[in-house]
Amino acid sequence: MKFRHYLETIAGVSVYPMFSLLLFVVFFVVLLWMVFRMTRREIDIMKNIPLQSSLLPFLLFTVEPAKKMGSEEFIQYILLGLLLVVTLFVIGLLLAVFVLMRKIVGNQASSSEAGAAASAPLFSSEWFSQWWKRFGGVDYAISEEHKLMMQDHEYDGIVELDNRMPPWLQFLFSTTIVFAIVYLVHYHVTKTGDLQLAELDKTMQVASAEKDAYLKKVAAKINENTVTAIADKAQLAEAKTVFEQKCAACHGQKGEGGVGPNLTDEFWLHGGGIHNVFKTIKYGIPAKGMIAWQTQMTPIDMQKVASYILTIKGTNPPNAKAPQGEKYTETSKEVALK
Amino acid sequence: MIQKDLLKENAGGGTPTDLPPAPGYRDPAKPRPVDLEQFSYDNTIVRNFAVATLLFGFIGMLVGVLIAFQLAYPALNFGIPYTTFGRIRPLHTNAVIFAFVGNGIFMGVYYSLQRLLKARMFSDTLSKIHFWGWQLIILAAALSLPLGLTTGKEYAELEWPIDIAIALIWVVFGINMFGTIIKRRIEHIYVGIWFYIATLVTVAMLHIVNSVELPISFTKSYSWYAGVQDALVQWWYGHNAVAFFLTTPYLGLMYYFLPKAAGRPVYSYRLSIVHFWSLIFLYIWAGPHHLLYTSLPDWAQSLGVAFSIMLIAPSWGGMVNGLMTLRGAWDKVRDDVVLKFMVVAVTAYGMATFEGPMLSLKNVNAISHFTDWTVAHVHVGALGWNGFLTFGMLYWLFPRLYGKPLFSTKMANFHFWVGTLGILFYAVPMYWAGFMQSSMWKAFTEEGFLKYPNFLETVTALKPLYALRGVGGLLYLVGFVVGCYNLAKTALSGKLIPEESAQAAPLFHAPVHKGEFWHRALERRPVQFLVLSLVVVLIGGLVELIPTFMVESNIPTIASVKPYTALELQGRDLYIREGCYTCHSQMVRPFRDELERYGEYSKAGEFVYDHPFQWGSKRTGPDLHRVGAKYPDSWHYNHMEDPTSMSPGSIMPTYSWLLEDDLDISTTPAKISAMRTLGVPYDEGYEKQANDDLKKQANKIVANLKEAGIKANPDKEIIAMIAYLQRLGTDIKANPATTK
Repeated sequence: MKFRHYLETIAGVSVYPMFSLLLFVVFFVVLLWMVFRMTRREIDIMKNIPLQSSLLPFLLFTVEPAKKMGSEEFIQYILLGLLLVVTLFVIGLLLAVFVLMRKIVGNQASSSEAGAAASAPLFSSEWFSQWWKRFGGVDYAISEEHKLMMQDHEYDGIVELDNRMPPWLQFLFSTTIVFAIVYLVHYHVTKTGDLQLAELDKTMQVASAEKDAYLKKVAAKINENTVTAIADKAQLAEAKTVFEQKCAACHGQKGEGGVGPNLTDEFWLHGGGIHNVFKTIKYGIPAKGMIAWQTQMTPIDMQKVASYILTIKGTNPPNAKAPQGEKYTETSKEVALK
Repeated sequence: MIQKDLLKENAGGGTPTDLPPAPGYRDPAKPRPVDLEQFSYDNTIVRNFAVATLLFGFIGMLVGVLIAFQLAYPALNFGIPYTTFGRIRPLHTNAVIFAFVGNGIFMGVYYSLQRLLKARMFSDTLSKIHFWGWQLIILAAALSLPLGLTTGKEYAELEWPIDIAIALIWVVFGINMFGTIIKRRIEHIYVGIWFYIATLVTVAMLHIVNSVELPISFTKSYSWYAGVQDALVQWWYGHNAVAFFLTTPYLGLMYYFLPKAAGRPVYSYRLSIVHFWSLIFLYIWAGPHHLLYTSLPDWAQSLGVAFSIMLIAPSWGGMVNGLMTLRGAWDKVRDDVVLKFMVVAVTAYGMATFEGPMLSLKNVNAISHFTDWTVAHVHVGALGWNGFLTFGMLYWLFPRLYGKPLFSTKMANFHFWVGTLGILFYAVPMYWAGFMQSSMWKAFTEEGFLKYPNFLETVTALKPLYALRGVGGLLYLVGFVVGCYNLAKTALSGKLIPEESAQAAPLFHAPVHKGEFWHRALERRPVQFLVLSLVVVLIGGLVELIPTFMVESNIPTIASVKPYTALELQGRDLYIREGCYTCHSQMVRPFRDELERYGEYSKAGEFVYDHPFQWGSKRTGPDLHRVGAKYPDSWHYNHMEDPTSMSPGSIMPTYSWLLEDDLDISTTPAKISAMRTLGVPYDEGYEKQANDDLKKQANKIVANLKEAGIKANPDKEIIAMIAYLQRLGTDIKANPATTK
């Protein structure tokens, strides 16, 4: 069977198939091109459209925020289902076109071959259509339904037919029963499924991993030029603990100084202010014994500790070490930055 | 098998449908054409139930429209207790389910049963007792619910005297129905009647088991069960109220009225057997799907899911048998408004019974539960299936009851279209609202914080959708009113045919031929049929209920959970009275967003003293299980007086009467004693000092309020309400080491 022959047989076909083919190809090429050049950000934006502008047509994509709750799969199923429907539709359309062409060919051939070939069943053969009707439970003609009438089943004029349960419904019923058994076995016999508390644990783990990854990403952007002082009390409290663990050995529990300089006065050896303090923590002053903390602390932790150190200025702890370095003021901060 | 036009027959006073056989022919299986018995059908009772259906349909739907708009415009609560959402939402559900659909069931059953059995109703007196008894029950409900007399269990809110009345009237109905079946003239009972029988036994069982309560006065009682067990019993009841009050009787009615209206044979007898037995067997198990991700034991939840999925095909069996019966009559559907209503009804049934199992899948339920999605789902069933089938029946019945054609087909068509539009306008915004709200609840920022930490944001976003939903309901109501007018005109143009004469041969037991289908034998033994149905519906309930009650590991106890103080108990009863559970859940599910938003997830052991449980099924407002100690007392005081003062934009109604009304403490001792009877470990004799304790606690709260600059009176209801709210969910915080 050569496809082109069929096309040629359509009356007045001329260049129209070329047009449609071109449209088809161009559409997909453009679509592919768009998809390939799409950035991750654009995809995220598109996913969030309905939540940000509440547009009805995009509602389907609102699940993005919910995906952490395991409904990502659910939406995948919906999309797969849609895809299936579209595919079926396209297949149906192709079949229709094919049948149509077949008929056109048949009509032309019938003039020479007395129509014998034209009436031959297509691939949707007699057998298939019979099967389909049986499967749907309508394999009898209405004119023949008297053969199916139940004897002695007459109630106030209502009679009953002796159809069996439609096979598709039987099939559906069996499938759901199998599903139910598998479901119960999955969760309660083999215990391969996560019951709700296990599911919660997993969700929390995933969430905290995602959060950490995000914070790492954000943290990478914090350096001595971009760092800002934190004012959040909870974070400063955390920083205090870190300070007591890591810094107190040299700088004293309260920052009063010891091996290292006093951090509570206004005098600084390597510059005060958030940028300088951060820089000192990060790279250390190896010559004087100050460790470069960047290998042991995340930029966020260093930011917190630096912020904390700025807050203990002027606390005048006991046993304070004498001032060292230069007095640091706002104006000298500007200078130091440059 | 085209039916003759019954209308003409009726106009002439009715003619037998059992024509004597042709001369010379004698069917050996049939009795000799000797004396045909003359009798008549009672149409008055059918008419009475039809009028009640219309009347209460109107009231139920009107209240529905009102509460729909209350969510968008809180001012419509009118600031008085009797019209506030929490109290009239139960009025709406009860009116629609038990008054509108209930009367619709009785109307259809009283009409079809007599004709299917070729017998008059067993007793006219019982019919009348049934009718007036049921209307009195409805009246009692309509008065007691706005007064705040409620058990606090959804769809079973009516207090114990009404519960007893319902049981008695139900028995009257049962005797009347079974009496008619016993004195029938048709040997085998039709599939429609199987469904009536299943309805009869199962509703009785559900109602009695779920309504076991301990009265403390004529208007107040406590559920016998507590916490998790109460929840399981309640949703075993609640789900099967849907199954056996809204589904099986209507399937029975469909099996009579659809083939009658279409003049077509029923598609498949065998299918009706399979789907009848599988439906009633499987339905009973599915209740726990209302409690997914709650403190209900996992095994019970899983059973609920598995059996819900298996329900698809049996439910669809009814739809298939209905729609396939129309095969060859689709041309009629275009012209006949009765069939149009019925087709939409059956289709809505098919959609709702597919959606239901989908909603009980865990991952879908995680999105849909507590949102308006559920509301949309039930309204597709109620408006589509129950409403439209009722209208179809009414349009079919009235011309036959009054011997005149329908007053206006045009109007009926208008009713059909505006009703269908109403359903769409109702359902679509609700689906949208449900999905949107759930997405907002679960949205996190990348830093791991809730994107919408303020619950209110997720509610105010829904306001336009709530208004749109109200419009949908209004459209449906407009159609209904036009329908009432049309039917009234039809009735007025004719005259009721109170007695429709009929004749039939007396009951004759045909000789049993060999190779008879086994089920056929059952169909001529109605009592065995009833017993077998009862056994079939008992299985699922027993398997789920007994272990939950008997096996201790299902509800791990928590040592730090203590009974409520007297004041808190009184506050809890106010919470129940005001119907807070209609908008607020008390069940923090084990989800990341709920942990973040509300706190620790709810444990089964925390509810052991909750008679009844108050988990709720809808979150129009936030969950309250961990609200205790979250806000200062003064916050609650101001919030109850005017919610918008604390949460600008809130749609919660004002509860200013709590600030004005005195708390009735005369009931305290009786309540404490009743709770002890139910197993709450109050010390012996505590009821005597309970009120002293109550006053002490009240004074403490008043002192707290005074510190915040609020001058409050310790005798007012608000103090008890604050005490209860501040206690909620705090017990496990008291001593975290003992919790598991």
